[in-house]
Amino acid sequence: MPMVTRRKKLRRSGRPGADPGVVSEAVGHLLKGYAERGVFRGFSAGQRRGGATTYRMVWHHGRQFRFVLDTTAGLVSFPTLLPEVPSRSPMQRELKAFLGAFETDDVPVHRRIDPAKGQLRITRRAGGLTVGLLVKNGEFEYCTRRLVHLAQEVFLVFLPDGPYYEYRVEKLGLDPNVAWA
Amino acid sequence: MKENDMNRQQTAPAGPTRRQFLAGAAPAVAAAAATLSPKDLLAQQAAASIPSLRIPKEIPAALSEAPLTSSFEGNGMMGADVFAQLCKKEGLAAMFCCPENYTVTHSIAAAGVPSYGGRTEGNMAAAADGYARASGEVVACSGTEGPGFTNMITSIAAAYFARIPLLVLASNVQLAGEDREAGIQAMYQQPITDGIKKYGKRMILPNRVHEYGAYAFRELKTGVPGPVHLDFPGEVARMRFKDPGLLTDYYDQTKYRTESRAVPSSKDVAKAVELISKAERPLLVAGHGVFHRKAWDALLAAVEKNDIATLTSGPMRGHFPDEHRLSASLSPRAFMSADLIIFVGQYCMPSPADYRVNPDVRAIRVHPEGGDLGRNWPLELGVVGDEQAFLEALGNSLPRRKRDAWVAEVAAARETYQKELTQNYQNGLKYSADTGVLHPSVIGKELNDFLYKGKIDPKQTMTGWGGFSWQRTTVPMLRANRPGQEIVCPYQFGAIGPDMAMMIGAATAVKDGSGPHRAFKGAPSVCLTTDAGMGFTLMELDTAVKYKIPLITLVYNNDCWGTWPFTAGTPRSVHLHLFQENIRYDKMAEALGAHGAYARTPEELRAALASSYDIASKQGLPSLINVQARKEFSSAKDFPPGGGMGFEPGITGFQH
Repeated sequence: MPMVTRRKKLRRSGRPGADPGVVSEAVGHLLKGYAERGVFRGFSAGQRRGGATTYRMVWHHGRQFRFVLDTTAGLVSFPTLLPEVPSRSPMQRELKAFLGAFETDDVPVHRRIDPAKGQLRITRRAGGLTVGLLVKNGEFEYCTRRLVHLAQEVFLVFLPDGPYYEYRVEKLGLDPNVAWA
Repeated sequence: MKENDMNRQQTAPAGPTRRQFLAGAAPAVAAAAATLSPKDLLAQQAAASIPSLRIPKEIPAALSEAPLTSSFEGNGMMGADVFAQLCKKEGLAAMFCCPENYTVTHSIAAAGVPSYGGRTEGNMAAAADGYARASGEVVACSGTEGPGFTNMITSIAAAYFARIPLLVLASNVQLAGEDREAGIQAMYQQPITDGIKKYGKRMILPNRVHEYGAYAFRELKTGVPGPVHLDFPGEVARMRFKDPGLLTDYYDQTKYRTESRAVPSSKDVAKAVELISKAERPLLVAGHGVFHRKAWDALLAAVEKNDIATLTSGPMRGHFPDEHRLSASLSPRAFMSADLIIFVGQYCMPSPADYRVNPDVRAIRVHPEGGDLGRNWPLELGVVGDEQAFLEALGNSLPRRKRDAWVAEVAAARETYQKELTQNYQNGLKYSADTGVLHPSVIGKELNDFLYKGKIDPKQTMTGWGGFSWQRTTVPMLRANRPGQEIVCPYQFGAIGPDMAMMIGAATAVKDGSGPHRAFKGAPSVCLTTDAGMGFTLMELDTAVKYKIPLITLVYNNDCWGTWPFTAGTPRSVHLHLFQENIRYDKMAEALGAHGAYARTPEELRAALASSYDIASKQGLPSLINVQARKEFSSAKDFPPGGGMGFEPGITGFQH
């Protein structure tokens, strides 16, 4: 695709009613950019199935993550971002509080979730916690970027700062030989 | 027999202290003896039959010997002398060794390089590394062929991964005996340091000894530092030269190396200025290279001009002051806000997921060699250039700018972190009261109060730390407000144990007033190590006493390896990680002539710090404070926040 046409399409992708294919391409481009900047260690472009496109990336602890763009439901998410978190556990409660803060003025404005563009959604799925953002006003790219930031906060702040060392070793594959309690 | 000895020790009356004895306070001792009861007197006489600990008079005598200048006249110079003269001219700051590799070490000591002999080669190599970390100077270590050399391997590796200019000297048996298993200890050394040295050479031709010495210092004093390993077969070390014309490349350092440094291009500096100007929240990581190149003034000028938040990384800290309004060292909550990260002299490069930064942060990296740019962390701009030259150019090119919102965010994050530390301390006080031993957060608070809020100049005392059990709660209470004020012993390689040996070397640098420590020459230093570390270094207290190194060592004694938390879920492995409980390292320290103290409460720790500092200041004697804790403090579940590795970049960083 010629570069100019592509850029125009990508700019339009943020608008309500944008073509799902264009949205998918824009989001894929954004995620690929993270791989090119070394944030993800590996990345594969998504496959669309129905209204959902799934992208895969190698990220924290060398694990493969899935990022799902659902243009029909208006949702971007990391399914089972944290696996095997017991229901109603303190960890679940604390994660919700931690991420919930990004919808408040507890964090600086440049790190907040703009309520006009997205809304945090944490759900239980397959025994784990799925973290996503409900996309408002067609702001798929904004929500993608924000969600990647939130996942980074979970893995670099929430988990290491909290009492989750054993969880990280047992469920996330943290190597105890290089990361000590 | 051992039991009898122990009983005798326990029942012996208190006689003259070692300090009194070492200080030569014999008249006072005699007066005290006159007041003893007959029973005590008999016991003292029995004890007196055991010779007391003392420093032999040959040691001060040897240390006061004038250096020798060898000459090609008369008997000529040995290869070792030629090399020693080169070391002296190059300003080799010190040599730490065990008494092996005799020809070479004796020549270096005779040439006037301050030399120290210790108990194991590994610890002496760590001490040399510590001296270099603290001073930024080239320092040598030495061991003999075979086992003396292999004892140094861990320390050479630690120096390699921390990028330390360590000159490793090891003798080798005679080439004439090669492949014949002649005598003992013959081995080929160089392959063993592959992967942990910047440069290495086994010298074969005696007449090239100066040439390879020059080669060594060229590598040690240019580019990114790292260990250089030279091994001297007997034929090289002992060859006598009466004619300098027989030596190859026998000219001085003005010819065989250069002080010239790569100046960054104006285009690169302009691009860096452009990126910084576009950024709202830039964060500069001042790595090891800023210290190594003594670029701290240029750093301060550049970041103050443009309000760039700054923190340090590397095996030493303090080249940007923790207390500065732009310091982000204690502001982990702000890192994720940075939109531009500028690495200057970051020799050990993290990957983006290793640092607490957001996924959209852009990166500039300044490095003296192009080959490393782009490794691990993709860059917006890679700049080949000397750290000092870059920072000076940046300071000259950046516009004046205030970033009030960013500076306020960094300050607020610091306040938040400070509250966490205070909360840890409050919890720690309760845990300490409940258990009767000291929680690491209490140790940290007491140290902070003593070193930085009392009568001592807060910039005076250098600290260094190792061990992981207290990294999260004690280490953040240390402060570095002048270059080299803190040594990060486990930096990158993470060796367990060498902390005290490394800090003996670092404390020697302060004692000498070497490098950035000139203003605090002779001041005591403080080492934080663990009971696990004691297994590696305790005997080096003998070395510290022998040379009167004013080092105060706190031993975090939780009766186990820091690995104990890993045993959760595997009960049969627990014993692998445990020691006997309540081991009295302080008593062992006393037996080695150091001051020993034992602390289980904040009050006891306060008193121990005060007495140890006083003894270190006035008598130059080392102390060991055995700080009794318990292993369960590492459990986040039972004693939150538990142990853990802290965060990086910032005050607890030690990996990159």
